[in-house]
Amino acid sequence: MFDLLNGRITVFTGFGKGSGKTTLFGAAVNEAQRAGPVGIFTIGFDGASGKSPIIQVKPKDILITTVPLARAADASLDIIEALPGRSAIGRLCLARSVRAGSAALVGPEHFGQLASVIDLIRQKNLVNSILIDGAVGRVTHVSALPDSQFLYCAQADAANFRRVAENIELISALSNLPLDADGYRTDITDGKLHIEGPLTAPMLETIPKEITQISIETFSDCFLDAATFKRASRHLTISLRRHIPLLGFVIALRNVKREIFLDTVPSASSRIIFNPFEIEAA
Amino acid sequence: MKDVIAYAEFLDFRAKAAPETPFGRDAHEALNLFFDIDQLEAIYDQTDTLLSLMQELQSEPARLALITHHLKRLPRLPAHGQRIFDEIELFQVKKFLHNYRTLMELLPVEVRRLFGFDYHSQSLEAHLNLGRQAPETFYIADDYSAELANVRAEIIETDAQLQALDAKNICEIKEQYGFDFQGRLFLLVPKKSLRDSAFQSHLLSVEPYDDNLYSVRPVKCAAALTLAEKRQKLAQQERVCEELVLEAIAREVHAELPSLLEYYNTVLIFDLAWARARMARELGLTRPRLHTKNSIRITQGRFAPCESICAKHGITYSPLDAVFESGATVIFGSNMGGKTVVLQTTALLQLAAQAGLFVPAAGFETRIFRAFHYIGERRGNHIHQGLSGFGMEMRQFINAWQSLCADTDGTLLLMDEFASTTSSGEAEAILAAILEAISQKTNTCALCSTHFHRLPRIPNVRFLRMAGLKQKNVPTKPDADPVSEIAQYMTYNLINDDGKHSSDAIAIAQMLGLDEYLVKRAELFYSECI
Repeated sequence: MFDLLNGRITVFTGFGKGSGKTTLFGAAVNEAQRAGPVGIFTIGFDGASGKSPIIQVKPKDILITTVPLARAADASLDIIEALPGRSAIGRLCLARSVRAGSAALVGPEHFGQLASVIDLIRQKNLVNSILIDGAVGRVTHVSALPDSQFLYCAQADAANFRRVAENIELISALSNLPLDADGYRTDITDGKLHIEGPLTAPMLETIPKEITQISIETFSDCFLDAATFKRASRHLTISLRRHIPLLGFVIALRNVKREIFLDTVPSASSRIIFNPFEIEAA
Repeated sequence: MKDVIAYAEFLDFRAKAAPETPFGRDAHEALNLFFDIDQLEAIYDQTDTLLSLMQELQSEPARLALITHHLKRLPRLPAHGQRIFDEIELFQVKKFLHNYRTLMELLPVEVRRLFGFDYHSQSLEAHLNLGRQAPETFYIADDYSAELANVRAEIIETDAQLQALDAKNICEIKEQYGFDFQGRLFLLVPKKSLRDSAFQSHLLSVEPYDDNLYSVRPVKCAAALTLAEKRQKLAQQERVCEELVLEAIAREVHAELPSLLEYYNTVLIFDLAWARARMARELGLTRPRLHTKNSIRITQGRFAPCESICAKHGITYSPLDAVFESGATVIFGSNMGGKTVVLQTTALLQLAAQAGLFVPAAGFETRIFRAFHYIGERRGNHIHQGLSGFGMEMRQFINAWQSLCADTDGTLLLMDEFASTTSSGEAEAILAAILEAISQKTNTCALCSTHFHRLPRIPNVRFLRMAGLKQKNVPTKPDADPVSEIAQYMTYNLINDDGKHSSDAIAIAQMLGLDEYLVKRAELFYSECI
């Protein structure tokens, strides 16, 4: 799986707290570093909570942090850009590691800023791969990052696995939506509706009956729950104007048999990796 | 003033002169008009010089692009009141110096001289570059302090020892228990694969994960923990050394602050001028000619919003040629004949000239105005203030009149169809009184567009009109765009009014598609009342 991260921008996103996202992210960073410098970023941590992800950087890796966190890092960091805005604990900067060690990541002010940073480091060809520790429970940010792919992490136990499975089925169905073939741009043409912005349940109610096809920008613009999406899909063909590749689902199972879980996710089963830290029985 | 700026759509025009540096953009945010000819001429000279440079560099596009590149790379300077600068602030100083110097080196000597470019911070820049750093990054390199270098060498050695101990540990675990961590922090191991000895092992920490799996992590040995403690102390020493370096560099930056501020002001003025020149070049703008006479002469003046509407409708845009003397000028004309555009063009050119910008005209000779007033429709504003359209206009005029009476330095007053929302007879009377009063004011230039053809011919008031429709009763093609149809038969230039023309309202209404029966009746009623 880690081979698929090489040379790409990958966002690690997850369902609920304790999804194993950050642990997997750390392992992925470690793997990606074997192929060359890595751009390592996070979304959603301002550094003030003390919960900023700590990662092990190698020389030439690139990250966003602040001066106080850079000073507290085991790694030694070279400042390569001052970023506009500041977090709760100081100004943000883009830094390159000079000496290996641990360092705390801080999220940018907004997704647009991260997109600009990524653009800058790609233009200068500073890294081989880019890994982003994404937000929990939301996938909206993935669409703000051009050319990115995403990986979805979740922890499933006996109590929540049906809910997790439902969510995975929805994400899988959304990412499988067809690309808008004819690129229709008008608001309503021949029963087709081009939707700008989020597709929500209340909006669905307002779609005229004669409409049979709708297009949304990316799958992350769909804010319908699984049941509503399924209902809508019966009478509407939903397509995407931009595709964001889904790399797969990484599921940390606790006290749930793999076969039982797989039965609940028929459309996503081929894209699931279970417990990546598990070793086979001797 | 705000009304005139909005009426002339001046901010959209001025936005095209956006500077490249962040501090240039801050300065550009504030709209400053200038009221001193010498000051404006100096600003125009700067633009002219850079326009010539851009022209010269046409054969060297890379150099031209580099000038813009280095301007874009110039960061804001940190606030200079503080004693210590942090790493980001020193990074900014270093990046500023590098880009300022490189930019200066790209400029010809006469340009440097005009803007006051100078550079004598080689020593500070070299110091910020210690340790073979890249020119636009900052790192407290080992070269700044021998003690820092020693501490860091010791850190690297300790890290290597720690790594070796961890590797040995992992190796031992693999040999004893067969768990291959391969860089992973923990493993999930099936219960049946765990021997009892693993639970007691000093090498492993074992915790249940679920009913079938255990989470297994390597445990650091005592030697590794001692080394980690040493590593922590070394990190503290490193921080102390770094602080000392930062203090030393901060002292140097402080000593250099007067020069830095000088560079900052120089490059700010250059950035603003570069943006003006770039805009003038891209839009084909012309240097205004300022004088101390009372007239305004416009040759081929253009109003971009109207130009783009014309382009959209496939209509040839007619630039404005006009001369306006001080006092009052009345402009009549057909509906859709371009009266408003005359006023908007004049306002735009005048605002641009006094903002230090070149203007969209082949020629623009003008004077300095101290005050600008616009009286006319302001979409919906009057409703919020509880006033009718007429009430709003009267309030605007009363304000303008007070300023006009007090002002001796020149007022540009633009009245677009003043009092058009009240009874025409009384409106004409009010307008006549205003025009008569303004005709006595040699320091005011008032342009008044109107359809009130019965205005008395007041001495010293000029009466002009848009040439208007060349032909009436033109058959309109069904499905044709009425705007472009009308434009085909319209002449948009200003001529002297002979008092014999109407506003062609019925003809225009007909061309716009008014029912033929209504047109006929309107013509009948009109012929009876004139």
